[in-house]
Amino acid sequence: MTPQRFLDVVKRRSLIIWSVLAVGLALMYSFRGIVPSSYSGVAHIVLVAASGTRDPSVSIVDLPSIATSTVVLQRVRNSLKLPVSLVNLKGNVSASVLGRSSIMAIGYRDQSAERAIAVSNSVADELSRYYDEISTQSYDVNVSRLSTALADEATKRQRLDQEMSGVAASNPFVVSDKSADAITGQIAELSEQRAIALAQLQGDQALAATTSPDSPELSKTARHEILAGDPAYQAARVAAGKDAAQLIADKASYTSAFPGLPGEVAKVQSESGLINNEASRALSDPDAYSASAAATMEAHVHQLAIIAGDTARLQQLDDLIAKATSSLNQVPTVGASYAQLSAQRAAVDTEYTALAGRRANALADRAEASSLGSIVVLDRAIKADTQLASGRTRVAVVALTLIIALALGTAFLVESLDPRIRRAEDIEELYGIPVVGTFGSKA
Amino acid sequence: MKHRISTDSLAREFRLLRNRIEAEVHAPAVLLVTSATDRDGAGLTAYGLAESLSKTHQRTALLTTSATVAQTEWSSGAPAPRQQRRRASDRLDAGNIKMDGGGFSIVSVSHERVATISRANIAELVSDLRAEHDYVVIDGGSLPENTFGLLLLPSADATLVAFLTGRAQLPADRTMLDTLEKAETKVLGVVMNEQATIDHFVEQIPKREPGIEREADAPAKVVTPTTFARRFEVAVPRIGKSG
Repeated sequence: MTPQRFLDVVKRRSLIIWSVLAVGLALMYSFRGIVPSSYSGVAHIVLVAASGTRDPSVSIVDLPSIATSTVVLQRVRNSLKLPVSLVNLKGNVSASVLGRSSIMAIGYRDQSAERAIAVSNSVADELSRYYDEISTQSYDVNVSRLSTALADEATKRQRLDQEMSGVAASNPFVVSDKSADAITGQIAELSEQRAIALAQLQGDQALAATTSPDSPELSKTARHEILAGDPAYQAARVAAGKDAAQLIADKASYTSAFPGLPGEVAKVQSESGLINNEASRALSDPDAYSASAAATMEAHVHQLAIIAGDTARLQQLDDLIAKATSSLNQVPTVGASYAQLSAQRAAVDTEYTALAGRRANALADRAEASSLGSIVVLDRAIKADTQLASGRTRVAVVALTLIIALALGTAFLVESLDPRIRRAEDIEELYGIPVVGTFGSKA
Repeated sequence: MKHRISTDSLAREFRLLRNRIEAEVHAPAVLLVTSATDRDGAGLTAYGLAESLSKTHQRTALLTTSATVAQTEWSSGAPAPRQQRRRASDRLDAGNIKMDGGGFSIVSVSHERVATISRANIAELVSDLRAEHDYVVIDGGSLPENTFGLLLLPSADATLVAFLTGRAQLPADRTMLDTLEKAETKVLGVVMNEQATIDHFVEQIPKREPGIEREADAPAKVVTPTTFARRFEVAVPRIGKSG
């Protein structure tokens, strides 16, 4: 359809168009109250680039697209926990560069003034962070790979350390470069200690023999001390002594014919048996006590303990000597294994050091890249900046557009349903001959 | 609703049409303007074309049956209504159709007489007009609705079809096309009438100033061909150009 044809139809159906417009505007005026107010928050950011350097990432003309990108808006949506869809969020966010400056305005329209402010500020913040990510993204990848490699090397080194510790635990001498000499020296030292310990044991055993409770001397002393402390034995012995003395005195004074002698002899004999009985009783008495026997027993026990310690010490030295001897025998095999592990660990250390150096360089490059350009939030949206946005105006514009479209559509629908012929093309189609002239055009 | 039409644009539109016709049909020639219905403006087209042709050709004739265009009181003895007569008379008397370079002849045949004139006589009339004029423009009217155009169709060198824009397709359109096809006439094309009327031509004629003697009060000068006028009771006035 040519513009002229369009204008012709509009002129011809102007009554319909104006009628539809009038009805539509009346309806729009009637329902104006159902459109809620909305608010707009605006924050400003500025793109700062280091002088004399070329910003490696993006320029100011790219920022509106980045600010309204789904990456940034999804972060804003997550950080603020916005109850709006990403599509609606994107539709209400606006970003435009102010003239030819490096300043960009970021706006958000919402029915809540607080949310309009929060979202516009959040978009500015996320844009700043995302810009940094973009600027240093290549370096981040490098740093990340180097960090992974470093972690792998550290794990490898830790594993080697564990293996080396295990080998060293089984044979501590392999840690030393002169492990055989060290083991030999230790065996000699242990042998010397063993000789001393053996001498000590033998001395202590000899001493223990002297304090044995089974010695005859100690038995006599203990018998004497027990019987001396037993009153019944002593009384029997005194009485027997007295009677024996009386018998000796009577034998000296009288002849064997003295009638009292047999009685006295029998009495002495009886008292002698009584003494033996008392002695047996006293010695078998559980409460019988001999201080010498007790002291001797205590000293003997003590000596036995010393002997046991000496024996244990000797046994320990024997074990150490045996172990050292075994280690000495294992030096050729375990030492080689430990040496191999040591070599591997040294290589891992070298690799780790090299990677650490490269990572440090990458971090330095990243820091340098991030310093080349950055986005600074110049002006945050605040309460005072909140303004009544064109919510109703926008709806009104949309409604008016729809009404105009409806009016034009109605006009063209009526035109299409009108059977009257007005165009040269239609006449040529009707008659099959060309139109050679036109007259009577309206002024 | 009557819309305004600039007389300048009207003249320009007919000038364009004239240029095209002059390029395709060389003088002397007889041009028949016809249409499917009487309201399509065949008479208006013929009138405007004749007027435009008269600006470049001294000898142009318009053969019509339109009572509005011609002085019908001279044609058949059955005068048109008085008001209509006066209007046509005023226009003719004022001489404003006599454009720069001269006017053109209008030959009027009443509808009533057409039915009584034979095809041979009509052919003879056209032949006579062709002999004396560079272009003879015939207002054939509606082909399906009257016989005048049908009678003149064999005599025409080329045919123009007038069409009034804004009307629906009619069965008469098909009838007209069938007639043209059967006659095997040369059809130049369609002339679109954007709802102009004869009033647009009339309005451009200034009113006669009071006190000035009306030329129409004097007897009209029937200059050519008087014999045909007498024989067929056809009025052949010569407008603005003496004998």
